[in-house]
Amino acid sequence: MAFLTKWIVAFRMNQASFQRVLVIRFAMKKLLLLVPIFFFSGFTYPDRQQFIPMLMDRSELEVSVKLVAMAMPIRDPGRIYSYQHWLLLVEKYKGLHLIDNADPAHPIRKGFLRVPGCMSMAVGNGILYVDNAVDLVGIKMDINTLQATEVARNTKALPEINSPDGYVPWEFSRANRPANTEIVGWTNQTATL
Amino acid sequence: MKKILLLLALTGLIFSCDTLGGSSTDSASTGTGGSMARFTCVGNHLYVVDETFLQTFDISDSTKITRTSRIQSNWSNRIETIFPTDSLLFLGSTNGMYIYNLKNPAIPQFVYLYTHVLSCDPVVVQGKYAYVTLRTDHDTWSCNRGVDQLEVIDLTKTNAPKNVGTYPMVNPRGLGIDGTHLFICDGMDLLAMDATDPLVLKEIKRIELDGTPYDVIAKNGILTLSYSSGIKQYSYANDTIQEISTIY
Repeated sequence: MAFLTKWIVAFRMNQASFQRVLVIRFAMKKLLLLVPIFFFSGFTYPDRQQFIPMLMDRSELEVSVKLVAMAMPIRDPGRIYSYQHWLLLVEKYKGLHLIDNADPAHPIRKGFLRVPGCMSMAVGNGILYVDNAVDLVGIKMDINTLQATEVARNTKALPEINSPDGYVPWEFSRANRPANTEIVGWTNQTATL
Repeated sequence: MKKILLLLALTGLIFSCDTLGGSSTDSASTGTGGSMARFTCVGNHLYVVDETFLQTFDISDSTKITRTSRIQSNWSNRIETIFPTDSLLFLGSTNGMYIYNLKNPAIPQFVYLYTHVLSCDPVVVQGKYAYVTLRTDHDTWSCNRGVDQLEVIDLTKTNAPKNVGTYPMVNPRGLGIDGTHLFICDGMDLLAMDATDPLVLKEIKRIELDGTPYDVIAKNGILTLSYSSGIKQYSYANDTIQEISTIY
């Protein structure tokens, strides 16, 4: 009797595993059938040609940080930073708006710090740090008299600026674009045409 | 006079006992960034996050920017934001919130990764609570499986943070907290919440904007908001939130 039960259990187990194998095989076949559907379905990547980089010569980049003692229009605002009674606002890829915020009810745009390839900023030990494309730059600012002096630069400390799609297309990689150029921003090709 | 001095010394002591520090360090030599910041300065160091790396630079000598460490994150993870307290760094990434300690400020030390569903998320910290917004972004493939919500995380144990609240949102971006006021850029609105009890947040007001809000800085009763058209500022006290200026 004990032998019989053992045999039945073994048979059932076998049957179960056999069925499982069948199910897996069937699923695999179905999956294979689905492969071409994945290929032709609406799974699309953003158009690679959509964005083209703005390039700048390295020699030009290294002397590109300049203070303009004039208010500039806000077009593509980004990050904000508050330092003492000043407000800094990123103008994407272009630089920083310098806003006198002593009276928040009446902020005044006093000037613009031109920093090609700028996206971020922070102040440490009284020095303003910004990303000048792939370079990290320290700027001594006297914003009250609207003067800026570059005091430190760490070249290629940061990764390249990705296109708004989130990467640098192959045709614009370092090896495939003019030598000694840096990406300082991206423009929408369809918009410029 | 002596009594006043004693009182001042006592309040100083009470504040310095808070191990997690205030919201964000602010003094004569450093400022305050928004929650979407990628750069932050703590003492003599500048911390930079850029998708795959957390980099540390020594800035004690203003004429030099010297890298002291470069920590790489998981290949599938994109680090987007950084928020400092006096002793900790909070990084918002597509996989979750990283906590690093600054015992050695030149080389931040990994403490914990608080994971959640794949989303884009900035983080702010006040007292023992972190406030994180998770956002779906259909333009970026790495975030499009996420959810839209605000999470409150208890940091009593930084090596074992736990979720103590989840609130559905429209499409949240930057956020800021100042005392009992929590502000969130949500969809096309500025959302103000009462955080008197961090465990039970209450909506105060939802203000519709003429553009998409991006980030906020809430400090000393003034809220500065950057949005697609420029900057708006509000004053706030209790349940009153009033627009005071706009620059385009």
